[in-house]
Amino acid sequence: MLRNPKLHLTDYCSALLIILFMYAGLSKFLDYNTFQQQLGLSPLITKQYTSLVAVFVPFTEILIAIFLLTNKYRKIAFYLSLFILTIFTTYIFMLLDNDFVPCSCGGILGTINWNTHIWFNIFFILVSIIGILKTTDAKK
Amino acid sequence: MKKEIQIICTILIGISSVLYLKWAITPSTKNGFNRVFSEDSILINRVIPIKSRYGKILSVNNTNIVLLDGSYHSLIFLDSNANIIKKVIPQIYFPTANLNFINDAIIEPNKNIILSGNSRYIFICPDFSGNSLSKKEWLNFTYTHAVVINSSTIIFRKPDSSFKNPIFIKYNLYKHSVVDSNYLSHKFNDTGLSTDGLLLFNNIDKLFYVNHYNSEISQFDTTLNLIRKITSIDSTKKLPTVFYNPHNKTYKFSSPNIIVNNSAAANSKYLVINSLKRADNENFTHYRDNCIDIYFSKTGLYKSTFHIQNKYGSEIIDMKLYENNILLVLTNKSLLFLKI
Repeated sequence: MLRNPKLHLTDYCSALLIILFMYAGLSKFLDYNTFQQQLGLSPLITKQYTSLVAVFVPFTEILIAIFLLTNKYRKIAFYLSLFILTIFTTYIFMLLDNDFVPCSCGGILGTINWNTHIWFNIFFILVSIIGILKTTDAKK
Repeated sequence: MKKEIQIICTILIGISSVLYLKWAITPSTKNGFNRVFSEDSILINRVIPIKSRYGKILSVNNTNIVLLDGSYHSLIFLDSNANIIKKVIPQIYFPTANLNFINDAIIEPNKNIILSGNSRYIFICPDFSGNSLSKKEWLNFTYTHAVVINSSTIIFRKPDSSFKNPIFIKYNLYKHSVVDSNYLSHKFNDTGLSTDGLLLFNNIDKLFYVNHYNSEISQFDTTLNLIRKITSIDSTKKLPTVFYNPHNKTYKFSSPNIIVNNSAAANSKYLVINSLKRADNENFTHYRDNCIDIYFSKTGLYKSTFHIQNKYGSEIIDMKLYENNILLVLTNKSLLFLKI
């Protein structure tokens, strides 16, 4: 495996995304009340769905991380990663006017401002895209 | 090429999902009214975080604040910086009445009156130095709303003798005399549930009864003479339907009720109402903010509206006007001082 440079790059992409999603997902679960409270301030999520979204988001993040660990589901995981990061980034774009809405990301990610967050997300979107392309190429 | 198309599709679906979400939460039907915004003329003087949750503002002026604690059992006296000066737990417990709580109170020099929650007692206490109450009065009626006018007079909203409709009465603490007014309330034979609201006093000569479920506001004087009916800016006419359950002899709403006017405060200059109804010209950024409509107290005419960003608290627990200032207690344990 190590002799194949393309596969090696995919592993790097996987590793980066696993760290991101594991960290984000677990920190949300570990400080669940704060996450739910901050999510409740979002103008895009109505109150009745706050609890549902508060469970669904970290669960999906951890699921993506687990999928990335397996060869079988890695390609799907890259697509899911791209999909969820696109959602998060579009969501942040919509909240740029609302500086009072706190970031719901857990841990250190919650402390960065919206603009930095966008660049951060774009970087991981590119990582996901590279992952998709290289994974596909590796199978040829 | 196939993979590139899949990537583009994934990104487009992701973007579309969020756009759809925004579109879905934007009300499709207009409420038929617009607000005049005066955000620039509202000055946020101070935001003071507080340690415990408070239930109600009893009195406020430039030097003192008296609040009711979240459990409705003790009076908290604060200075103007929200430092606790003293905490008083009035002894309002009776043989079987551990359930007693404070319903309302007016705390002013020589005018300290506490209305008990679960018993029909009124407590008169000139000072709180010894936590003792000097006098108690028993009421021979039950009530739903009360406001203390002066050291001897209280105005109540209570069920009539048939327990089917609400009436307003003026009660003298010392003469035990009652003046009632039948015509101030609608008669829907639902004990007044559909017209439940907020009873306010402007601390001089006028009272307001602000309906919770529609935009009707009654303005009357302290002799219970109706001055005028006012319609709040949102123009909601419909009241919730109430049905009577003969099995347990209770009245209930037939469907989930929608509150229009959530909380309110009045003084000689203004009547302010925290409305939960969205105007057609309120934008996306106002979605979670608390909306406060300002009316002139004398005429009942609408003046303007401002919003309190939800970073200060997602809901207003209570608010009180003093001079040109408003004090608000918010759910995230903070006191907010505003200047109109």
